Amino acid sequence: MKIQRLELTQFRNYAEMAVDLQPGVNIFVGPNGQGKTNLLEAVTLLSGAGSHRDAKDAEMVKWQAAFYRIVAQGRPAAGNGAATSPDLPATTVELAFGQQRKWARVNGRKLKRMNELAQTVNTVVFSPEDLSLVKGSPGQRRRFLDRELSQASPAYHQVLVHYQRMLSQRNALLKQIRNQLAKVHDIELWDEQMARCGATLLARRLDGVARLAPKARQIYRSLSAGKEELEITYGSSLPLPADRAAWPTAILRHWAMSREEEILRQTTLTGPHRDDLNLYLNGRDARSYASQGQQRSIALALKLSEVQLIASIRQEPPIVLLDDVMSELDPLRREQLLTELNQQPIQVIITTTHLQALPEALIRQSAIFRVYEGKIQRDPEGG
Amino acid sequence: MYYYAEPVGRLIEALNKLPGVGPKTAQRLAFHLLRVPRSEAVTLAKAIVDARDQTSDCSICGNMTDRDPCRICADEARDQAVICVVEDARDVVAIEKTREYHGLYHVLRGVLSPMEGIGPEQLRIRELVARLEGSPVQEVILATNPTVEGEATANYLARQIKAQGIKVTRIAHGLPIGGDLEYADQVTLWRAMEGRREL
Repeated sequence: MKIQRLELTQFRNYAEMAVDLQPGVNIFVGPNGQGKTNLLEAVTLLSGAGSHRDAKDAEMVKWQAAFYRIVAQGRPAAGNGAATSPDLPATTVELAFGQQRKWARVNGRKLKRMNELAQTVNTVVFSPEDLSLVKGSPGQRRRFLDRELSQASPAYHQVLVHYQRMLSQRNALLKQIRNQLAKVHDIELWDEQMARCGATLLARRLDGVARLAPKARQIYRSLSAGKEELEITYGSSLPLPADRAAWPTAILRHWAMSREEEILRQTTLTGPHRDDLNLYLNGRDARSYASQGQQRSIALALKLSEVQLIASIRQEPPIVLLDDVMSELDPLRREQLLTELNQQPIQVIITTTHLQALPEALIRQSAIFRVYEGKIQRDPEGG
Repeated sequence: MYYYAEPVGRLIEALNKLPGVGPKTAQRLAFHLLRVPRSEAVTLAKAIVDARDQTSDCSICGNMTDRDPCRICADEARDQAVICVVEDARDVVAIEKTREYHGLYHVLRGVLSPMEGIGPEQLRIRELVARLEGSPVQEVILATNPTVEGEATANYLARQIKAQGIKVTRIAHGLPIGGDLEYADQVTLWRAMEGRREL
């Protein structure tokens, strides 16, 4: 859905705030620490993903307030590239947290799980930290993939949570075995269900990468003016046979073989929680060889392919949130990014400290808002 | 600052410790108890003490009971060849309410959870194995919850009990009857798909 009106109550530094957004590009300008990123954070929460800054709910409640509340009104985009359809009824999404509890409603219907929000609102955030996606830790790349697949399918998120729960139990058990508080073969009790769950997770990730890779390659090709080829593969920490039905058994066998070392190290050494995204530029490992500029282009290609993938799965493009990232890109990449976003009727929210960091043409077609000390005012300067 | 008379404060504090009772509910309950006839308050207090004093765990199945062995274990009309293993005494109540099960029970009082330091020794597993030894039991139904921990516990029990040459079954998991696919929990739906069967 595209957001028409966003209301924040006691969220971060906002006491009470309402803002009307336009379906295209919205720019929030203001000095640092005034609440620009907080606004983006509120929108990401509406998509059911946690905070993109990994903040806890209690931290997002305004100082000395008891709860926060985020309400968005919008319209679902009609398919076939039409902008929002005025014939479709408006949707209201509401998310609140207070007294250790969090609840969400869509058109008044209470949701059982937060990740169900992803069936109504989808977002893709691009922040300066994402520029280190290429050189960063495998965990960062896994999180990128997990976030994206979770939005594309709420089932994925639940399987992931399930797997992580098993992993915590298994690691706790390994610790106990090491300290001779449990028997070695007790580990098998967890392995069987965890192998099955892990195989499901792996299958989903591999399918996700298979859909993502060609999109990213195409975007990268245009970013590099056809000079470089980006290849993305899924790097499994486990040897996987071609037949997917055999994966659970293969995982079990591998874990059985590395049991001694796992007990020694008190942790589960292989599995979806240890995997990585392999990135290659013209056949060379981008994680070690890519230049600063190439890294940024890859990060950009990954993010934009995420936008395309979510758009194709959910039949509606996600809301794209660009958190102070424009100033980090050189004019060429900035131009590429905007061209790419202009191809579809995407709602974009941009934050920046200076309007000068943005192209003239963009400013003319955007709604511009000034952010100052938790207050927002529309600037007539924009389109 | 003066809020409550000291005994009232103590009552509120005690009520507040109960599961599901927050400070506001605790206050409401306390004021209610102060207003009802004294006999009603005494009845409640006595009921709490009696329930504590007059119940114990059944020495056979571990269920909560006012006599030992419990009414279910002592009932000869029940099928002595089947034992249903559950996590908690509350699960016995849930299954009994269906009136469809006529066998015996065994209450584990928990599930395996390495994170909380709960291993097989902390559960009533040894008692179960001893109980099955030389008994007429032909089938053990594992009815632990379909959680990560419940599954692991069921796996553990299955292994132990199969070694004794007894048939082990696991309750099915899937969609709730009368439910709507659209509103089903995603993992439930996924598991239900996994466990599909040919018609």
